Amino acid sequence: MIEFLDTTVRYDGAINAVFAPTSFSLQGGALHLVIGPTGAGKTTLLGLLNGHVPHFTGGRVDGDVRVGGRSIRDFRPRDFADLVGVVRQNPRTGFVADTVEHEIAYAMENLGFSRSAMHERVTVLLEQLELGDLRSRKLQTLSGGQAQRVAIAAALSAAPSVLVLDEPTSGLDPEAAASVVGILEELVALHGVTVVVSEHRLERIIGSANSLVVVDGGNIRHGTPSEAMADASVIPPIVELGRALKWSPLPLTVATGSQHSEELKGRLASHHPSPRRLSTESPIAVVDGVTVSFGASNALLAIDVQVRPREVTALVGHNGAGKSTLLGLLCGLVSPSSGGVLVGGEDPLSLDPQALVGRVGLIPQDPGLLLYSSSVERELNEADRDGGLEPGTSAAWFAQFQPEVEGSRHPRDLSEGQRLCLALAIVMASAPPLLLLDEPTCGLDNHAKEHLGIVLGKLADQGTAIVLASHDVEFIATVSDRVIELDNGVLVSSWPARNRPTSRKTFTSQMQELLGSAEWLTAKEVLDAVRGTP
Amino acid sequence: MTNRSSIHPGAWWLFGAGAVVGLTGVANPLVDLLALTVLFVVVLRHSHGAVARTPFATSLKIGAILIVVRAVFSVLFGARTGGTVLLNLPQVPLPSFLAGVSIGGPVTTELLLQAFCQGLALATVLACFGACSTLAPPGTLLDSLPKAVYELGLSVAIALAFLPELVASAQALKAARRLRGRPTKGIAGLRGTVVPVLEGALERSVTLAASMDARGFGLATATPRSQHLGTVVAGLGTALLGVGIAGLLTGGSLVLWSFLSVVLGSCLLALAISRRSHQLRRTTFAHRPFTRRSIVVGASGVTCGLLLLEAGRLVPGLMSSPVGRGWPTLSPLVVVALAFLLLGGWSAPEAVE
Repeated sequence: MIEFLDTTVRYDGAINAVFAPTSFSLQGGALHLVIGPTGAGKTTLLGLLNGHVPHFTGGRVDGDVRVGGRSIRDFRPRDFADLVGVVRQNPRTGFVADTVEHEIAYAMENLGFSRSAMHERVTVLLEQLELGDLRSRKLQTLSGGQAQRVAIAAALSAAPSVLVLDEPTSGLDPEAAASVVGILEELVALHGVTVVVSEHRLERIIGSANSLVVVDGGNIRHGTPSEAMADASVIPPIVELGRALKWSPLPLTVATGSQHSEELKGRLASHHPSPRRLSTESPIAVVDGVTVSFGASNALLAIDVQVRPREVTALVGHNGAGKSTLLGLLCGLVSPSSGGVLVGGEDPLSLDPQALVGRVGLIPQDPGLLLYSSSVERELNEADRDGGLEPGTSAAWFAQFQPEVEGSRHPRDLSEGQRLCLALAIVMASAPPLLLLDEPTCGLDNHAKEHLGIVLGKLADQGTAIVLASHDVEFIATVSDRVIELDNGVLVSSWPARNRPTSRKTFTSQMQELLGSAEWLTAKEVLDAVRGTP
Repeated sequence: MTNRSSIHPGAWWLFGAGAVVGLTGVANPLVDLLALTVLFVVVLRHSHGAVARTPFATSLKIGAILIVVRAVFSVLFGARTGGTVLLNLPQVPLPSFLAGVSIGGPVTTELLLQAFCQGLALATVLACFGACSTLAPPGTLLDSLPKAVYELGLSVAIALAFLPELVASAQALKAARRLRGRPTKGIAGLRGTVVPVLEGALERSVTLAASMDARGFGLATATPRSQHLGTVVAGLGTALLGVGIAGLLTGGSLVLWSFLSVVLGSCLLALAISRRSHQLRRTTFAHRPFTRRSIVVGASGVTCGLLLLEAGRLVPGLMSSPVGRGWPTLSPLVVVALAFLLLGGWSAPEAVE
């Protein structure tokens, strides 16, 4: 269905091609997963599939890409509209119409479908993507998971045989992500659609993939999932475990790995992982019976939370559960409708910006919001000036987080992980005792995530209280000491990370699921214990 | 099929346009307040009780601000005409050649009332537009445009839709500045916000363009060459039209030539638009026929506008501000005109959500 023939792409002004000339073909009616570190060229590879690269982005393509027999040399993206449907990273930015049904019909309108055919197809798609009752809803009122499903329906509008998705689950909670993955499986199995999808959180989708395309270090390799997983650098925890323990065949999902779980449990019987931090210090931030209402609806309802120094607290819950609102409360961006918030003994709402940065720092979901300057160096200098700090303070923090970045680079040109570290350095320069992070791993690859985990661990050891809101179950398993679950604005539970019951399957890490116990959170902990056995 | 009523969006805009024509420059507060009440009732019927979140509500708020601003300017710079003095502001002496301009001076009841009436007149016209956008969001007009100008219309609709998003991203940035300990107010605060907001808007537009491209936007059946020909014809038509209108407006000696130029230009433009419409593959999803009820809605607005104009002509001074002349009055014709507006707007079937 899709053929790459000695394909290579070079963007204008770049010295090197994005990847070396590559030839491979992707079979029709299958799900192909594209993986690799950020910036390696996954988005470029996906962009080639409908001629978005180079027709829209510019740059030079050598060799050829053929999709369903059409060459991107002769066909523009709009000429691919009936053959290739595309869902981009943030679905909302691509919405054209104002209501769900009209958005879905948009491609059909452009292709000149008759009105009756359009209505028929819209009805079918609404049903297929479980959007039936949202037909005439305004697009702005949709939740993240709903918006993603509408974007998929809109891409499937003209019944294309190829569907391309760029990180479709990155902003979604585990449950919404599972529903999207289920829909993709169904499209492949029942409708013979060829799905090409890129994803960072491999554990969410690798079980459904028929083949894997690994884009790494300027090379592209294509193979079956188990072949590619045997030596890939980006792997889910279960694969890490399986590889280290030489399980054969290599399990890609918890389900296939479970045949080894009894044996593993036996080996771990007399072991316990090293304890997580549990602070007994008095809390730095107290949220006392707070309710936050927006109009008639409650974003948070009678919430009590205490945040202690030297602890990493993770907030989990579905999209819209109130995680971001809680973070906003702690840094004075959201005012409580009733109840009180104290950070370091003071109400954050009453503090002026200068005083605030010394008490609490927030890294928003898009860390770029905190950056305005034209170079890393200037950004760090300005941060020192704003905070009235010794020159070089921020730069010292940045060097600690990310030693090898040149100061002359533009913040926009940094990788997501580097940008996050820059924002972190700027915030930490004022040494706030409370650090908040909103979805810090969204857009980070595994290496950057691992690095962030180490950085946060160090900060907590030095005495910072850290609160992070995240959907990333494996990341939370790695870094958190305490887990607070919110649902619909209500605090459901607050547990030390290792004591949390594993009954809530969607927020359970792969190791917890494999071993059926809350105690073992990460593959590294399991491996350390096993290797310690004589 | 649509979530709005089965009234054609064009009919609602005709309804509003009629009201605008009749109410422009009407500084009689009785007429304005009556008209505002009528609009409010019509919007209330068609907005499912969520009036507070409609563009109409926003337009009322902006109108209120307009009235206040108008009053402040009057107090500071308004011409002093005498009357009941409420408050004496110090007056700045100005040179004699600036006669008629004053800064400060006595603030009179008449001055304030006059300012209120004139502000209310502006606010009423604004509310007409607010009502139109609520009853038929500008985006819904798109499908009624000829295919060739659809692309142009879409760019306008997207630009309008981005405005609220710009506000949202400005708020996000303001929050971020606060988190970095930076000023969020004043010039410095503004400078740090405007550039990133515009940058973000540009980025979003590029993403949106890519999304539209991938979904077949502008897909035509004609060859590029014949499309270029269409562009040339349209350009020529626009140029002739422009030159002709300029000639007519300046009233030179070439009236006949200007007139011919306007006619020829219009023909060429119409030709280009109809050719382009045939070349595009586009069909429309939403079906909004111009039903009999739509005609009633549109006609009620137009009738109201014409009757208001006539009422103003019959009773000189009726539509201007009554300040200094006693109480404002209404004429029966004004009431009839606004009754038309109310009945037309009310007659439309309630929208089903």
